[in-house]
Amino acid sequence: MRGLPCGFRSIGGIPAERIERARQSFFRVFTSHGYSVLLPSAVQLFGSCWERLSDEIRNRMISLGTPSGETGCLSPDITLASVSFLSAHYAPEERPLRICYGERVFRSPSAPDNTADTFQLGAELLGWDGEGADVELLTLLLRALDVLGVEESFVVIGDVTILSSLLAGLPEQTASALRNALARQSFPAFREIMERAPLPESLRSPLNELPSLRGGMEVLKKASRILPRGCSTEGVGKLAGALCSSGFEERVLIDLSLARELDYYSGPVFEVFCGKHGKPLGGGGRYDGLLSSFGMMGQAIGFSLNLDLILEPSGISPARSSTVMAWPGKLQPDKALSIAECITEFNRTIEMSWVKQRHRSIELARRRNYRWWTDLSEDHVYDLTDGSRREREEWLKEGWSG
Amino acid sequence: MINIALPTGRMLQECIGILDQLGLPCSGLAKPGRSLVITEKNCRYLLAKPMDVPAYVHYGAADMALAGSDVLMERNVPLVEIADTGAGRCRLVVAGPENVSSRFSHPWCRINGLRVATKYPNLTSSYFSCQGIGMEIIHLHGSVELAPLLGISDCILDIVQSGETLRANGLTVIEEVAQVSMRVVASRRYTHQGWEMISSIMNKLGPWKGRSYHAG
Repeated sequence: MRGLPCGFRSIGGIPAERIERARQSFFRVFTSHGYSVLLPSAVQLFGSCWERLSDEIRNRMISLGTPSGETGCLSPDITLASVSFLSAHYAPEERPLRICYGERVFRSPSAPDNTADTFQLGAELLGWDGEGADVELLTLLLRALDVLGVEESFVVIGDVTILSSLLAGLPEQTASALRNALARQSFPAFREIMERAPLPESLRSPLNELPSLRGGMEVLKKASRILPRGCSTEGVGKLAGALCSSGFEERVLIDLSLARELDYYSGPVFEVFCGKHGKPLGGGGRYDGLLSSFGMMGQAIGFSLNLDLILEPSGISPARSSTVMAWPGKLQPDKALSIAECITEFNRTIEMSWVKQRHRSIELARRRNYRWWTDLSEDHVYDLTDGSRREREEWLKEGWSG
Repeated sequence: MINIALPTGRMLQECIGILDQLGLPCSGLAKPGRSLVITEKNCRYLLAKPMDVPAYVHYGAADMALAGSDVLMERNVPLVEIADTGAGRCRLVVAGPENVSSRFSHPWCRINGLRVATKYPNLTSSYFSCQGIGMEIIHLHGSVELAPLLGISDCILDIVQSGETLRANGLTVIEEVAQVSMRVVASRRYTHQGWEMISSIMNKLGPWKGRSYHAG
């Protein structure tokens, strides 16, 4: 019997430990700044997601029937679940609301990947007006990337209202075709549509130059020469400027043509990259419009990161989190467990091996890549890499880790 | 160092011409021998099967690539399409013998359930299903024209340049699916980190393919 449907995964062993440690590290960054952890349902109402998500994600939603007869889907996007939860559980006077999460999202696999579930880390900040909220979230995001050991990470900031302003006066069909070409990231298609479409001359130059408005802070100066008056880059400028002032100038880029795959963004948006992957690790942005669709007024910003991608280039050690394997020796289990408990109080983790023979326990520790092994009825700890031994008490007091 | 994935096989010669036009060092590519990674000055070329080229960019092994638009459509990997080089121009068509061709001119119900042989199963599936037509897809890796001759399929969906191979095997073009040409693609990350290089490529590829994209 096959255990799982195609595309779904059960994760155990070291990969599971790495995911859990990454989640905990991520939560520590955000909970220390007042964010609370959300555990959303894995199932959402199909209609609610369908109304608010882009075509690309709609086509990948995995539907199912709920026991109460409603049509549901495996959660394709946690921001929706978060906003839905917050709108239903908190009164306006309780804002601002800060939440973070580390959960699975489910979408039909999209080539060339073949998994239907991915782990997402994310955070949302609702109901705090002004650019402070945007700067706070992005600063914590960059700090979290450092804590997670993601190398050469950087954010690219844009603003979806710039493209919307440029396309505002165009026929819907042309505007939609141009928007789709940019969302698909096809410059030839974008230019071909521009060639054929009856565009006002005043729009040709700004639209033609839009994809090239990317780079460092100097892009904003270039944009001010090219974009018409209605297209404000103030939001992007303030956000990028604040991050640069906070010491992240090497990790902030601007792309004024940036379009996210989700339709619900309504202001500054951003994508996160690292040195190893060609595709973004994730992204986010301002979604005030989505908030109002849930009956909540005000400002909201959030992001999500693909944890599976993050862990690939991560510095988070794949080493076992249990640092020592312990054998009870001549001791009764209750006495052995009591000594094990004392060891854990020194911030060491311990795994018991209940086999009868000492050499079997050592073999097991070696098979499981333990460096340290101890017989709890003695006072020594053995280093399995060179066979040396040392006093357990001394070993516990050492600042050793790993 | 920029990593560029290139398709092996007959498209490699076209690629060398494009790289030369772009002013990139590529003399070592003319005779790569069995090497799959060739480094020249600040360029590292990764030689891959044409269908695998988009994956190398997607997974971050390559920053940029030259790939046929047929391959990009088939693999449907989210990459940034920088420019149409215009090289390797051909057509992606549905072709078949005369008796099948005539069925296409009738209402769609006459072609429902036809068997189509192709190297492009994903593209074929989406092309026909978008029109509400159910086809049985037979995935072959080459010499697709053989399939209708041997009765394995009713028609084919394949690329055609001059049409000589089709004619030699008693097949005619029934309908055109798309124009095909060699495209410059890049990873999302590289379009931010290497924009100067990309805009220079777009400018060198001429007015239609890379017009007025200036860095800085």
